[in-house]
Amino acid sequence: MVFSSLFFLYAFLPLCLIAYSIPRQIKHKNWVLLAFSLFFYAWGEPFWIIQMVLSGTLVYACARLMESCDKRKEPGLRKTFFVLSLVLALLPLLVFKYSDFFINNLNVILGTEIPLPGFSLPIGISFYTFQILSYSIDLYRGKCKLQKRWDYFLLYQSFFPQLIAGPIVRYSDIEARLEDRKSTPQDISQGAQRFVLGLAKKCLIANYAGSLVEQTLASDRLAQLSGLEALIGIIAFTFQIYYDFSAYSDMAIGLGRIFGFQFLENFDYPYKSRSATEFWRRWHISLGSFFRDYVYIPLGGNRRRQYFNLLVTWFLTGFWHGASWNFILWGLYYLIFIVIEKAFLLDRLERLPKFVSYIYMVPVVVFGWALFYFTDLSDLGIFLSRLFCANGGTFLTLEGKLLLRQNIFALIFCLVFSLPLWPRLQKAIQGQRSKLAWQSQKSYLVLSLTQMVILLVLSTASLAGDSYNPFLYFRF
Amino acid sequence: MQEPIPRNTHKPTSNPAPVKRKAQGEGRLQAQSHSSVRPPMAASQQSLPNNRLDKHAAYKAADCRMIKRPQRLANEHSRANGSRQGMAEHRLTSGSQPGVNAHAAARNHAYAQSKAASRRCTKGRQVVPQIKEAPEVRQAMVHTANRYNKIIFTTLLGFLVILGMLFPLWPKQTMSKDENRALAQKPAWNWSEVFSGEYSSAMDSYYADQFPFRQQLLSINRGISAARNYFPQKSDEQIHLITAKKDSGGKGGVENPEEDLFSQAEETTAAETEVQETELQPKEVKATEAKLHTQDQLDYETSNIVIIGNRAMEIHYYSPDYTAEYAKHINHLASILPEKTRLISMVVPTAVAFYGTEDLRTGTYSNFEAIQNIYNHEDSSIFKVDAYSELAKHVEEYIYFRTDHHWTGLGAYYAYVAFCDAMELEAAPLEQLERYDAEGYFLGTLYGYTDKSPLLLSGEDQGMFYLPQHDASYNYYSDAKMDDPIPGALLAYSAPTDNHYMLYLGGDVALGHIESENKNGKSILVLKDSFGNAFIPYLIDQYQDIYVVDPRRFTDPLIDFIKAQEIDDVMVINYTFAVSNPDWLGGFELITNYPQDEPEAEASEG
Repeated sequence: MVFSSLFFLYAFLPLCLIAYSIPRQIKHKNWVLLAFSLFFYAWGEPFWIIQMVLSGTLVYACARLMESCDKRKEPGLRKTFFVLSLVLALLPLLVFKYSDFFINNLNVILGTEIPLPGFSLPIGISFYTFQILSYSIDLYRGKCKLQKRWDYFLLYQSFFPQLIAGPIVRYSDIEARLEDRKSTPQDISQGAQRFVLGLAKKCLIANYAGSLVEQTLASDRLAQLSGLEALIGIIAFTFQIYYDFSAYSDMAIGLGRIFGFQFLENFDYPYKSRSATEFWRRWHISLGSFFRDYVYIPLGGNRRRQYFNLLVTWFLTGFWHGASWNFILWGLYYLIFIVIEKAFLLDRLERLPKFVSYIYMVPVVVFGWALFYFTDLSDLGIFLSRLFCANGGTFLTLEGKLLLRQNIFALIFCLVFSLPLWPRLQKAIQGQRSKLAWQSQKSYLVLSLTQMVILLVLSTASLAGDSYNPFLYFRF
Repeated sequence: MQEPIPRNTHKPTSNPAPVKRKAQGEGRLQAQSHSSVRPPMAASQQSLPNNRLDKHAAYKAADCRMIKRPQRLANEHSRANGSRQGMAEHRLTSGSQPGVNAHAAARNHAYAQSKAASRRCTKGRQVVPQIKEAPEVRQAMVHTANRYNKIIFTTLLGFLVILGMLFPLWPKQTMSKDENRALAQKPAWNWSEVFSGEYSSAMDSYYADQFPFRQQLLSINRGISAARNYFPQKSDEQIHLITAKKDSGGKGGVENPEEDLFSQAEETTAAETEVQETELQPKEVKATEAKLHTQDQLDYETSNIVIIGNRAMEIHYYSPDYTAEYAKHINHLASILPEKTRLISMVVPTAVAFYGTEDLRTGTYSNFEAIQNIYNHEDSSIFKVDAYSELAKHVEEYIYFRTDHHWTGLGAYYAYVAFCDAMELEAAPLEQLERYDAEGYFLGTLYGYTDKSPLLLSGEDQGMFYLPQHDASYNYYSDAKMDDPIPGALLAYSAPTDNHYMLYLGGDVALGHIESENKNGKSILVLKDSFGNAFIPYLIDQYQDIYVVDPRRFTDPLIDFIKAQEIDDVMVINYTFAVSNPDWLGGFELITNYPQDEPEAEASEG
C-alpha cells in the first residue's frame, strides 16, 4: 500500500486513527499499530511479509541472546551473537536485492553463464533492514537497551509510516516512546498538517514532475529528443525525486507525530545547499547519518586511512540506492566533489559571492541525478548526446518550445517551493508571537483549516485523476 | 541522566514539528526583518542609530561574531561543542583531523553554520522583547490552542471518515462513457490471488474507479492541470501541446468486440441509444478479470498531440528505419502472392500533414517523407497509391475530423479517386453520389486523449459519407472458414455509439465480406487498419466481392484464403502511424508467415 492512494487515505487511515484512539494503555495502542502496520505491508507484499517478520524475529532473538551474555565474562560469545544478527539481517537484503547484480558481474568477469535468480524485491527491505541493523549495533555498543517484547520490536521494524520509504528511524531515537508516549493536541494537529502537506507535495507536484519525466526521459523517443526537451526532463526529475522523497518523509513524520512519535527530519531543503558537503547534510539525512555512524566512524573515520573510509562509505551509499553500477558511480561522483571541496573548494566558495556556489552546485546536482536516473549507462550516453545536441541534434524544436511554455510556471513554482520560503512565510505570519500565542489565535485556526482542506481536496482530485484511463476502442 | 545527543545537530527550522533548540533570538529577528513596524527597543539595549549608514557602522563596530570571521566562530564553536559526536560530525564532513587541520575543519563547519551564526548575532541589531504573558492568560491560551488543534485534527479525520463511509453507500458504475471502458468491479476473494498480490491491486483499482464524487474530482483535476500548464498566448490560433496517456492499443475495455458489434447492430433499429451506465448489475469478478478491464494496457505509447485552434492532431514522427521495415513487410507479401494477384499499397497521411504548422510538416515530423520512403522501398510490381497529393488539393474541405484522429468520408473519397487513378479505373464524380450526414455531433478519440480539452468543444465533428452507386450486403466472420455469418451494418444510418467513425463498417472485425450488386466478377482483399473502414465502401462500385481483413484479429494463413477465394487484387491500406504499431505488424507477420530471423524483433512485435 502507498500513502498516495485513495484506498489508504479513505479506508485504511481513518480506521487506523479511530482504532488507535480507543485503547488507553500504550501496550494496546501498540498492538493496534502493529496490526495495522502488518496489514499495510501485507497489502503490497502478501507473501514476503513472512520475510520481514522473520528477519525481525531473528534479530530480536540474537539481541536477546547477546544481552544474556555477560559483557565482561563472555565478550567473545556476545560478539558472536552480534555478528550473527548482522548477518541474518543483511543476508536477505543481499540476496533479494543484489544477487542478480553480483551474479551478472561474475558472469561478465569470469565468462560464466550462471543463471540469474531473478528475485523480486520485497518492498521496503532496504529500509527495515537498516532499522534493525541500527538496533543491533546500538545495543552492542550500549547506546540503547534491549527490547524484551517481540511485539514492540516488530512494531519498531514494521511501523507503517516509515516502513516503505520513510526516514530510517534508529531504535535509540524512539526507544523511550515505544514504552510510553502521549499525543498532545499540538502533536495531532501539527502531525495532521504535516501529513497533508506531504500528501499535496506528492500528488500535486511530484506526480506532475514525474509526468514530465515520462514525456521526455522515459519515453521511447529518448534518442530523438531535442536538447530542450532533454533539459526539461532532467530538471523535472530533479524536482520529482526531491518532492517525492521529501513528501514521503513529511507524511511519515506527520503520521508518526499523530501517534506520538518524534521522527528526525530527513530533508532540510537540500536544494539550497552551496556545496556537495552541505547537500549531503540536507539530503536523506537519516541515510547519511546512518552511514556515517555505522560505517565511516567504525572504519576509523578521519583518524586513519581516511580516503579509503570515504571511498567505502560513498560506495555503499550509492550502492544502497540500487543494485546497478550507475548508483555506485553516483555515490562515487559525490565523493569526488566532497574530496575536492575538502581540499580547497569550500574555502574558495565561502569567499566568493553566493551565486557562484549555485553556479557550481546546479550542474553538479542535476548531472548527479542524470547519473542516478539512467540505470543503463548507454541510455545516459544517449541522453547526454541529445542534451548537448551532438550528432546533429537540435536544441530547439516546436515540441520543446511548447513543452517549455506550458510548464515554465509550474517548474518555477517547483523551484520556489524547494527553497525554504514556506517556513519563512509562516514565521512572518507568526510574527513576534510565541508558538503558543500564535496557536491560540483564531487566524491560526482559519489559516490552518483552509490550507488543509484545500490541499486535501486537490490531492484527492489528483489521485482520482490518476485513475482516469481513456481507452480507444479501435485505435488504428 | 544526560539527554541523548540527537544526530541532527543542524536542525531545520522549517517544519511545524517544534524544534526546541531554536534560539529565541532567531524567531524574533526573522519577525523583525519581515515586519514593517519597528517595535520599541528593549531598555537594556543602548539607543542605536536609525539610519542605514549609521547602523552599518554600528554593526561593524560591534564586537559581533560575523560571517566574515568564521575561523573565530568555528574555534569557539568547536570548543563549546565538546561532545565527541559533535566533533565526529565535523570530522566526517570535513574529513580532517582536529589536531592536524583544525582550521579547515572549523571553516567547513562554520561555512554551514554561518547563516545560523548571523542570525544568532544580536549585537548591533535591534532586539524585540518577547511578550511575556501572565499565567492566567497563558493558561487560557493553552486551552484555546488545544481546542483549535483538536479542531484541526478532527477536521482531517472527519473528512477522511465521511468520504470513507460514503464509499460503500455510493452506487457502483459498470462503464465509464468518457473513458470508453468498463470500470473495475469488486474483486472476489480468492486465496491464490490474495497471495499473488492481484487481489490487493484489483481492490485498489476498484476503490479508485468507484470512488464517490469521481466525476467531480476528475473535473477539479482537469482544472488543476489547466492551471499548471497555463501560459498566456497572444496569437489568434493558439497552439497547445498535450501528451496523451499511454494507449491500450485496441484491446481491453470491452471484452469481445464482435459481440459488442452484434449487440449494437441489434440496437441500430431502436431510437437513439446510449450505453446505460448502470444497465448491468455490477458483479464481483475475479481479480485478474477486474484488472483486465481497466488496466490491460499494452505498453505502447501514443505520440504527443498538438491542438491548433480547435483542431487536435497527433504529432507524427518520421523514422527511416520503421518505414523501411514496413516496406519490407509489404514486399514479403508481394513475393508470396499468386502470380496473377496484384498488390496495391496505400499509405494515408494524418491530419498534421495538412493542418499542422510548418515545423510539424517537415523533417522528422514529415508525413510526406515517410510515405515517400515507404514507396521507394517497395517493389516495383506493387501499385502505389498517391493519396497524399489528392488530399492536398482539398485541404479546405472537411477531409479530417478535428477531434478524432481519423479522416472523414470525404477524405476517404479523395483517396478513392487516387486509387482509381493508380489502377486506371473510373471513379464516379462526387456530385453523382448521394451524401448522408450522421445525426448530431460527436467529440472523437482525441477529445478523450487530451483529457477532454475544452479547446476542442467548438470543433465538434459530424460523421458523413457518400453512398456508392451500387447496393451491397455485408457479413462478417470470426475466421477464414466463414461459418456463421453475422450480418453487419455497412454504413449505419444512425450511429449506434457516440463515435461517428463507427459509421463505417461498424468497427474492426477479423474477416468481413461485402457483396456488391456490381456483378463484374472482380474481387479484392483489403488488409487494413481503421483508416480503411471509411475507404472500403467506395470499392463497392469497382468490385463484386470485397474481403475485409484486420490482421489483429484474423489468425488464419492469408495466402491459403486468397487462393481459395481466387482473389484478384490485394490491397494494404494503412495510415502513417501503423508503421510503428507492433500490434498490427505482429498480426500481419503471423498471417503472412513473415520470416522471423530476429528473435528479439519477434519478441517486441509479437
